[in-house]
Amino acid sequence: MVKFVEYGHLRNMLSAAAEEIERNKDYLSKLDEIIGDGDHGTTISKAMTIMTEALAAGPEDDLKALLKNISRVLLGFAGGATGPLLGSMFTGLSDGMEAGERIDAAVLCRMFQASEKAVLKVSGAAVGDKTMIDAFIPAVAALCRDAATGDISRMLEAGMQAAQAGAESTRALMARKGRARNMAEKSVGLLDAGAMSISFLFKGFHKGIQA
Amino acid sequence: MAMKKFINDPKDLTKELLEGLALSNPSRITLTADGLVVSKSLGDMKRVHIVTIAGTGHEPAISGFVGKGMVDICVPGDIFAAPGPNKCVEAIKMACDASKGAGVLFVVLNHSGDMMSGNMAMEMAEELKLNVRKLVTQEDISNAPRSDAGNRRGLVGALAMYKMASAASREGKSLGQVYDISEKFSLNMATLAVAMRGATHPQTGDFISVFAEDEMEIGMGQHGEGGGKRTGIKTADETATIMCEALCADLNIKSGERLMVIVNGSGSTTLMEQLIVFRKVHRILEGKGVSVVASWVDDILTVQEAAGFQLCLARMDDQLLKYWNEPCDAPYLRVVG
Repeated sequence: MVKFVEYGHLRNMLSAAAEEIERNKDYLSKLDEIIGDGDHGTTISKAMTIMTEALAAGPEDDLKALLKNISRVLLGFAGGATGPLLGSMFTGLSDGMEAGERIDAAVLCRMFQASEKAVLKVSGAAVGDKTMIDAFIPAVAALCRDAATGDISRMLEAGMQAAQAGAESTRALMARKGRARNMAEKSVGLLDAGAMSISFLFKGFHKGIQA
Repeated sequence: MAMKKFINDPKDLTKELLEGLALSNPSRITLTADGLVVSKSLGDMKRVHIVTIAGTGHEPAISGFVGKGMVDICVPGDIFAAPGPNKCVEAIKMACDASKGAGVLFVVLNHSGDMMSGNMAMEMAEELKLNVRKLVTQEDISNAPRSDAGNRRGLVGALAMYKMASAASREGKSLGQVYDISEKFSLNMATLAVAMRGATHPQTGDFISVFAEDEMEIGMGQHGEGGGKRTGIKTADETATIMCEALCADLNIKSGERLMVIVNGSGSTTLMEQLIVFRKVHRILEGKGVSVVASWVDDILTVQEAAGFQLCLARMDDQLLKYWNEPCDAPYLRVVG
């Protein structure tokens, strides 16, 4: 049972997340092509590359600072809406922990809740608007529900499953935010690329914690 | 069908196009080391400076309109993608310093990414106590009614607004006054787009919107996202009539008014076609007792090789007309003094 997220775990989680996105980037762009401008896969893949570079730059002994560095580079690249959203996600993860604190289940939950708050502030979307939020909010809720077990691997598995279900739920929704909003009724029946990205990220987090 | 464009590595599109823009306009703009497009007239006098942000891929907009009498700093993002907030703050700070205390008008066109970055940048700018005000342009009548303007997209109208803002600033107007004049213009403009052929995303080669041979759509998204009504191909006059009437209704245009008319080609619609459309628009407006006192017909804010155009009508008054006729020297808009 994984009780703490140390540097090695975090590195593996983020690397696996980047791999999931890379593996699925053409699919993500295809989704975005139908109800957006066709570049979400490329953009988030670029974000993952930048994230991976920042991850390699460290610091390994200060996870709060490391997460903050990642958020800074994500806010620094030209990624349309993806930059501010992902950047805020990491700002929140960083803000949700104290410097030098060991990340146990309770802290991880707190970090993801701060992350959710930061993303919502930038996004302006709610569940049901057919955005990444439809996957992210359920993922955080599911992850925190299992925090009492102290089992981080189990938390991330719950998060992954909820993210997947949340992403799948966007199929039936009509877009109310972002470029897809311009499609309105025509967006019903198609998956949202942003929500699918979140689902892939959480799949990577879960895969990485088990490595 | 493979994409046919004169490009190199798709990853380098933005970098290369901006370098080309700067190299072909050395007297007008500078491309800084971190990719900001800055007017050579930055800091030339104590005045409100104009900063804006935009994805690339819409050339000549928006970086092609940086220059004396137009935009002072444009923060380019990547193809169809807004820049991140950090660079926006950097540009605002640079412009603030250059303004010698007059402050900065930060213009953001209403699109998701631009708004997110713009809002984050304003938060950061406020923390740094920078003297800046943000103005959002949003005049596309096709995706929301005037009462829900917060959901309207920002289209070509902003390009004319930059000129008004810059001329007002050069007259010595304060930030509050430049803001009010610009806002007045932006609230009295309306735009509608029509498309009959989509474009390809130059980085991925993917199609952005596909039309059948006999289809066109009035009310397209900026980057080819669907969202309007598909119809059969109509003549230039029929199309112009539908669009002009819709815009006049939205703005509640009355006889005796004065308007600016912009016909903005989307990329592959010829000037021939744009001029034919303008002719009809002019006749319709004359017929309504409206004077066309300013006009701009060109590829201004394009979407790669998309076929279509945007029609923008904007109310004019003596002050705005004077500003419109002030000299400016940007790569793709030059007005002789």
